[in-house]
Amino acid sequence: MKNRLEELRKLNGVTQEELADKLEVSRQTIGSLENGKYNPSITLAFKIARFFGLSIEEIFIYEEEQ
Amino acid sequence: MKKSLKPYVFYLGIFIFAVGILLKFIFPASDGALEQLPFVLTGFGAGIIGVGVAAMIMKKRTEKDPQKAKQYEINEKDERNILIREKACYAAWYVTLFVLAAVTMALFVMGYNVAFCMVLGAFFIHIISMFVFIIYYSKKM
Repeated sequence: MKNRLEELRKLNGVTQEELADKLEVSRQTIGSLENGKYNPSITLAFKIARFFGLSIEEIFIYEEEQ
Repeated sequence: MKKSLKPYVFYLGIFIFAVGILLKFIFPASDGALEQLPFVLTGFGAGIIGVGVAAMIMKKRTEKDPQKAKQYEINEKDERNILIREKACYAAWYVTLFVLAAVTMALFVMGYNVAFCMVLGAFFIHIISMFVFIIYYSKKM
């Protein structure tokens, strides 16, 4: 699943470490999310959305498989 | 932070190790299963002591540095790390399945009937345990 996490993080001037600290996950998880290697749980998706003050759909782009 | 049972593993290891040594002294000229049991227990105990020592060192290190303790807890509870551990366990289950199957066949071919039956039993427990956990988690989730 594609996402705008890296773009939003940089836009808000937050480092991966700071974001990981706020969301109580490891820095590696943030890296994997940004690379699109890992899709978050619904709980983490809500935490991320709340952190940036956006909705989940504004951050995560769901594309139906063809 | 959640209290861990890991430091107590050290004392369990010492107990098993001591039982192994005691058995060797109490039954010095024993044969059969008792002949090997002290060695098995001391070896097993030594291994557990190692795990316990590692846990105690980890505990001491995290107690001295709260930041490190917090990071350790985050890494333990991190959902990606949990998923990685679950996937690794799943893959290891299949590896063990094939290893057990190969060992079972090898023991059968070599004619070690008792060992063959024991490994065959372990092989079935290994498979059945998966179905037991499937039923357990189907009811739980």
